[in-house]
Amino acid sequence: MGLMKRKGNILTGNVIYIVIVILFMAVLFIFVGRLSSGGALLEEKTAKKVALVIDSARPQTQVFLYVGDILENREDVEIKEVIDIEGNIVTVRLSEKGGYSYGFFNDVEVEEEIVELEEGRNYLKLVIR
Amino acid sequence: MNRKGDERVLSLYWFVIFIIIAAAVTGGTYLFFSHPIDVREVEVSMLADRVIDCFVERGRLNEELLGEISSENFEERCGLVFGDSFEGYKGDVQYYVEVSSLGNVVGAGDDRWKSICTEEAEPNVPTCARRRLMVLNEAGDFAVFDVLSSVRKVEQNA
Repeated sequence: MGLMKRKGNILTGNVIYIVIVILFMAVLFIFVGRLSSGGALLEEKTAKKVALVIDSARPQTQVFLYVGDILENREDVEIKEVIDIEGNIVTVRLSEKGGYSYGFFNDVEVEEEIVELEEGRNYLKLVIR
Repeated sequence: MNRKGDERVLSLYWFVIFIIIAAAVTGGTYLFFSHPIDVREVEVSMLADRVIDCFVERGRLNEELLGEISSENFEERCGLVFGDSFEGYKGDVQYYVEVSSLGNVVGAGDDRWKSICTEEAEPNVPTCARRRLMVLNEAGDFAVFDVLSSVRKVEQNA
């Protein structure tokens, strides 16, 4: 009886330990995953990418830029709600709160729109004047 | 031998090790992803190229422009805009460019970023790019054309 009880205690202890470790690992993976693909990082990356493309472009140029999947399933929204180019500032806003802005030095007028160049793949079209 | 006690100590020891590893991974990831992406080296290089394009066409220096340009009309003549409304900059201009050739030296932007900049992007220091070209002047002789461009923007990049 005594031996059986001891075995039962060891098994319960191990199961609890394994469950805690798995929970810990899951939380860790979720945290790292969210941080690496988070909205804030994506906003910054996209705003800087668009600003640098505008800086390097000459007037009378059209640029088609794939900016990751941030424009997917957003056919019903105005492009300016996601990527807004006003004056010499690019603002990318993926949620209602926040957003990231980055400036460019090229003195050009820029028009932006979403175009579907490939099936199921939306691109940002920039018309630089 | 107290086997039960040993197992508990071992289990606690593994648990502590696991917490240390988890904290290190979390901290490392947070530090890596919370750091802004530094694009100033690319940006400053593009600015220098843009200034060269403004003054030099097919290897020939536009001496007329060099004679007419000043710090006041530099942005307008070269199609540049240096104002940046980002709150952290408090209205300070974040760029500086300077060209020198045939005895003329013209700069535009904030010249504080000229003397303290480094060519490799570093935290809290403006990044700069220097270019030296041999160009043809109007008489068809070689002339040296120097460009210095500097971008600060440390709050958004470093």
